[in-house]
Amino acid sequence: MLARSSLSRATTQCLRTAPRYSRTIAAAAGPNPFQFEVSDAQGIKIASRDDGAPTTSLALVVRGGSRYEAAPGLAHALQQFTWKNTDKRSALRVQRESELLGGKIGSSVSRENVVLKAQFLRQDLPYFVEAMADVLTSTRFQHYVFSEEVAPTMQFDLKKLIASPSRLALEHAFGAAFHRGLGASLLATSNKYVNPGSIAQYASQVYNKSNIALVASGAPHAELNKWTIEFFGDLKTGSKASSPSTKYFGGEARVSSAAGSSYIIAFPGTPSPNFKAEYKVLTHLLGGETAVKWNAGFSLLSRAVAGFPGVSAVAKQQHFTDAGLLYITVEGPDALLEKAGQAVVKAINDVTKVSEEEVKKAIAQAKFDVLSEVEDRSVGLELVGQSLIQNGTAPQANVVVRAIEAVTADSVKKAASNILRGKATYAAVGDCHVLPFAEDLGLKI
Amino acid sequence: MSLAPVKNMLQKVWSTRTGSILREKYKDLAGYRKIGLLGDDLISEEDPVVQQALKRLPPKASYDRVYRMRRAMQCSLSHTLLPPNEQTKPEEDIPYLQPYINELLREKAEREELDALSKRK
Repeated sequence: MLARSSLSRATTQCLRTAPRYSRTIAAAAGPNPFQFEVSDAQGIKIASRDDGAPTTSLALVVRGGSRYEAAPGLAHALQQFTWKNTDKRSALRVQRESELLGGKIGSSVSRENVVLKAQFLRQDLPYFVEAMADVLTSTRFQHYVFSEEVAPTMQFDLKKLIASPSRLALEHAFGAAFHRGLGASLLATSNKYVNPGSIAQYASQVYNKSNIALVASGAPHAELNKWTIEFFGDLKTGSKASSPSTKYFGGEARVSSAAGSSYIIAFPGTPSPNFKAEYKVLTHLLGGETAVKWNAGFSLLSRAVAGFPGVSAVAKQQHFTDAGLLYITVEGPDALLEKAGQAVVKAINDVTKVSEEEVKKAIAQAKFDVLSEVEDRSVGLELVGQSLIQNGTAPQANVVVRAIEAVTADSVKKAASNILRGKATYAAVGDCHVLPFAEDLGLKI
Repeated sequence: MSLAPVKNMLQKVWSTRTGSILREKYKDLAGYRKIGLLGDDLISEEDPVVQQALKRLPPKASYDRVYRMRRAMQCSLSHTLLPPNEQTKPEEDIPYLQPYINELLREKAEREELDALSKRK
């Protein structure tokens, strides 16, 4: 058994050394490696930070996600049309060349953005900036590329979504929470409005200088600036994509699916930029994920579902330019879902009575989460780009951390009672015969 | 003996102005225009590249092609020619399929080239 005195000595030592570590980071001469340098390269917003590492992560964020699309499915189709044949190079050549350079290319679509990504050795920056510029300025929207490559991959993405009840529930939760705009389906559910002509038209709307941002991790800012000016000079000027400002409605959705059962309980969250730190802490306070193996975790949600073997309840948050969604995904064996849901809702309601220590723990986790995300260089570039396009600034990790440190138990409780006062969103996907209704769980819809 | 010099000479003649008149005359005499076909309808289909090119045709072009073939088949069965106003006019005889075939051949050549890359020491 541990002697009490030795334990307390270790703890106090830990506390004493903690500030010393943070001081050494601050004193580690030169600029903060997490700090994004922002500038305007002839109308294109760029941000970069250079930690001196041998590889670079580059993301080209285009404000053209599903909330801005002119017709359903265009954002998804546009994303699948990236890295295809251009006037200068064929799709195959770009792939083989980036392989030869040891790089990786990819793309993703979200409700806000279509993102082109590349990771490569730092000396290859010009090649990848040029390749990204080619995608924006000279992609050929050929009808046979659409039918041979783009449409089948879109179909495949949709199949993957349908096979995952929790992802499908999240889609329906967005629909119930925001109706249009952010509530629109992320993926194309049919090709009714999608054809090479409409995709090319959408591309010409969103591929313009004020609607994109280039974000790099591990690249010198001057270099990025130079190559952006050189290769993106041909891109036309235009205006930022806009959509009606988001209103939170809340509501209930039930969808039957054979893939499994899952439901989502959601509340309005915080946007990014104009981030509210107490919502971030609240997400970690609810938690649900474990940091230690073979253990259910000690957050509010983990404790709530501890008595229901196989059930998991995890709180997460997504940030958009003018709204956010804090959602709790509940998954598990059908028979336990209703009882577990009641326990989860009780845990959410009890947030207003949470202790000071719990909040401190959540603040520590939130800080860790922010900093580890910043250290993982490819994660988080999209949010930086989103903020750059929105208001020309990049969210800086130290500012976010400071805001999180300033959160108090009272501010978290206030945020919690704020969201609990409004309407909740509930989306259930799976076996509708056993899935509970929002009313059964005690949710106010 | 190789036929290459003869072929070269023919190609040279073919690409001159006189050649273009000869070319037009040859196509006319070939007779496919009299049963309403286009030159590209005569390209052999029994080839994976051509099969793929046919798949890439826009729906309208593909429909028209099938229509022309059925009409030509009918002419052939009944041993008749189309009335002159329905026959293909020289200006309508455009290569609608060849560009797709060329694109596919280019893609194939590019793939082969990229597959055969070797490291230079």
